[in-house]
This record gives sequence, structure tokens and C-alpha cells, in this order.
Amino acid sequence: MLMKLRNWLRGSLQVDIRGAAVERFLNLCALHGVAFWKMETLDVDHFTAWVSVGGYTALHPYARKTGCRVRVVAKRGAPFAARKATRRWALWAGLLACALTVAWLSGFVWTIRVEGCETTTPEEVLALMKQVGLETGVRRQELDGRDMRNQLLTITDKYSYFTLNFKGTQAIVQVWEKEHPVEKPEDLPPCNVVSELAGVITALRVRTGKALVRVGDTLQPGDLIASGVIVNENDETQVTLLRADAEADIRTWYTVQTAVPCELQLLEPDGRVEERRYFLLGERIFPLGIIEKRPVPWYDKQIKTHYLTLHEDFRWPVALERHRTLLCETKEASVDRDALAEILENRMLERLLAQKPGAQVQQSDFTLEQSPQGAWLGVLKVELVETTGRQVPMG
Amino acid sequence: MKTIQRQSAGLKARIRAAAEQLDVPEGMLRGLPQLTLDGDGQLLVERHLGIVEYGTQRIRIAAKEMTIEVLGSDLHLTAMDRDSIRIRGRIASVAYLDRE
Repeated sequence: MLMKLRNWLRGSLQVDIRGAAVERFLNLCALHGVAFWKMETLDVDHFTAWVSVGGYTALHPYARKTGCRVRVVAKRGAPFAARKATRRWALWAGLLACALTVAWLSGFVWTIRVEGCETTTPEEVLALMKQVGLETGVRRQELDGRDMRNQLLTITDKYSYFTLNFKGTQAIVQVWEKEHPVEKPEDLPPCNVVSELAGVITALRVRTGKALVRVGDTLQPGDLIASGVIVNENDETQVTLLRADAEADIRTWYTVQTAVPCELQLLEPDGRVEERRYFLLGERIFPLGIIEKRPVPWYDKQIKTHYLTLHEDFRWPVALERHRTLLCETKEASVDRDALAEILENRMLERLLAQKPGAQVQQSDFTLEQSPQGAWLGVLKVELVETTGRQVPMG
Repeated sequence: MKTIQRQSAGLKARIRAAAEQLDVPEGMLRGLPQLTLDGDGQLLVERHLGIVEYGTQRIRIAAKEMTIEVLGSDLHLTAMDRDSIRIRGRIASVAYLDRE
């Protein structure tokens, strides 16, 4: 195997040898170090053999001396392959273009890795990085790590330090989050507890301080629930200031209204479809083909992106995106009252509860009526039980 | 002439003794050919001195102190360099000629 490789690298020739004194020719060649292999006897005075390029150049004097005629039949090996390849200019041009493309593309940032996130997420850091110019597809030469760090530290106060390093086409962002010292309760200023909501108290929990209200009392926003000022009953001049801690469950009432037009316009695909394809390189989008832009009044767009992935954890910043535009036409549709009532009630309740985390619904009442303006008017009245109590420093 | 023959016989005896002492083949020290016969299809001759006769039924190879005669049918050289000759074909016999 090794010999074969050596012969291929050095190059070899198949020669056709004819002559009356073939034995003498072979002896002379062997004596002077010209080796033959894969010899094939065609006749008593005629045979073929393989010889190295160096051997072929050396055997001519012995062929002349013995009256043998030597003719090259075939050539094999790296020198001949290289000579043949030199004429293939398209191959070399392709290789050069490939090398130049790889060299050019390796000057860009294609992946960003964020390290050191504990209380924040890498997505937050990436969003900050984008603000200062680091995103996939930017040239590495355009990035100045020190300048970016200074900019970042002025933008956010969540992080105490950033470092930006490059490993090939990957940018590694290391962040150090700020550690906020936990304040000890004794260091905090004395305070009262006030209500943030208006309603009737159903339960009261006072952990520190003096309760100023009772169950059944009505509260308005800003009313005191508990006081941090404790006066000695025996000596009224002795006053102790505490950090009051209390909360109250209160019943609250809300009324929410939503109007919906009686006649709706529905979009229905009319069967016409326009497809456009794009090539995504980092954050840049290149349209594939000539795209004729024309205004489309109603449409529904479906976007599918196919990323080039190596394995689950790594995705190349190269993708093909297909935009499928379904052209639509509008259609008048009437609204089913019962269905609308059910949907509206659920939606309005969901929206209200999303604004009141922790609240519990006691009862609700929903009405749907047609307004004089020709719209459905949904009115939702809800009774909730919420918890209130905010510490407010004294003075 | 007789003196030269006597000297040669003495040299051979000394080489034989040295080969026995060193535990190496005598032929190697004397430069005699080494033949490796692979069944009846291939013969490798090392330490040769050249081809004397070349044919498809008989090949004679010169070596030190002898000529090797290979008889058979469809004989042909497959490789040859300064040190070795490889013969292929149907080998019927290998004989040493002109042996002292």
C-alpha cells in the first residue's frame, strides 16, 4: 500500500519494450537501479512494464546500447494528474472562489453565545447587544469590544461588567450581573400600611403595628389599614415607631363594557396564492428572484423558515424563508347573539383577571344589548375579593 | 592456479565457520542468491546478477557461483530491480547450474 502510494506520488509510466537483447537491457537497467514492475511478456522479444518517471529518463542510454525500442504506453500518478488539472481553469477558479468565500464569510459573526446569566435571560442580553451593534451577520472588524461595553453599561444597570470575545465566527458574551444587597428589616424605615383599592373588608391580617380598621369597614384608596406608631398606654409621651406589616381582603366591584359591531367583515381566501422565497443570511434577507410589489387590499400571510441545522444545539445563520400570501376577499357576516355573548363574557373576564392577579371572582353578571348606534354592547359586572396593603414610609 | 583454488577453499571454510558462530545463513555472508518459491506459481530471486536467458519456457538467472535455471510454461518476469527478480508462471523445476 505504501509502495503504491509512493509510486503514485512519484508518478509512473507503462513502457513497451521491444528488442533482440531484452535480457541485456533488463540487466543493464537493474544494474543501474532502474526497477520494473507489473511486467507482462507479450513475446520473447516484446514486453511491457511499469517504471518510475526517474527510471524512464535513465533507461534511454541502455536501450540505445542494447538496441531496444522503448515506447510510453500509459502514464499514471500525481505529476500527470496535476499537469492535467492545470488545464482545468474552471476547477481552480471554483476552488479559489470557494476559498475566498470562506475567508470572507469567516469575517462575520454567525453565532452569539451568552454566558453568566443567572437572574436575567440570554434573550435580554442579546436584545441589549443588538442595541450596541452586535447581531448575527455583522462584520467582526466593525465591533469594538471596549466601546460596546461602555455603551452597554450606560444603557442598563442590571449588569456590572461585560466581556466580548471571538472564537472563529462565534461571539462569546460574558456578563456579570449586579448583586443587590439585601436590606435588613431593622435598617428599613418605619412605615404605615395603606389600602390601594376601594371596597369592603372581609378579612384583616396585621402582623406588625396597630390595626386601624375592622372587618366590615369600607376602604378607599389611601386609607390607613395599620399604623406603625405605637403609643405607650401608661405614658403617652413614649412613642415607638415600627415598620407596620398588614394586609386586608376586600370585596371590590367592577363594571367592564365592550362594543362589537353588529355586522362583521370576514376574510375568505379567494384561491389566489402568491409565493415568494427569500434567502436569510444572519439578519439580512435576500429575495430569490425578481419580486413584483403591488398593493394587495386583503391577504393572509404564512411564513415558513427552514434553517440549516448541524445538530439540535447548533443552527447555521443561513435559512430559506417561504412567504405564502393568500389573497382574500371580504364577506359580510352577521353575528350570532348567544355565541357572541359567551365569547365576550369569557374574554372580558379573562382580561379583567389578567389585570388583577390573585383576585377571586365572587359573582358576575353579563348583559348584551344592542345600542342605538347599531352595535352590540356587552356589560360585565363582577364582584371580586382582592388583597390590598402597601407599606408607605412615614413622613 | 592451484594456490588460488586453495585460498578460495580456505576463505569458504572461514565464512562457514563465521556463519556458524554468528548463527546467520552462510549464503548471506557469501552473497549467494536467496530463492523464495511460492507454490509453483511464483519465484522470487534475491541477490541476482542479471538475466542470462529469457523465454516463456526457460529463464536462466546469473548469480554468484551459479546460474539458476527455471523451467516451466508461461513464465514471465513480473518485476525486476537491482536486488530481486520476480518470476510468475507455471514453474516445473528450479535448478542450479555451473555449481562448483
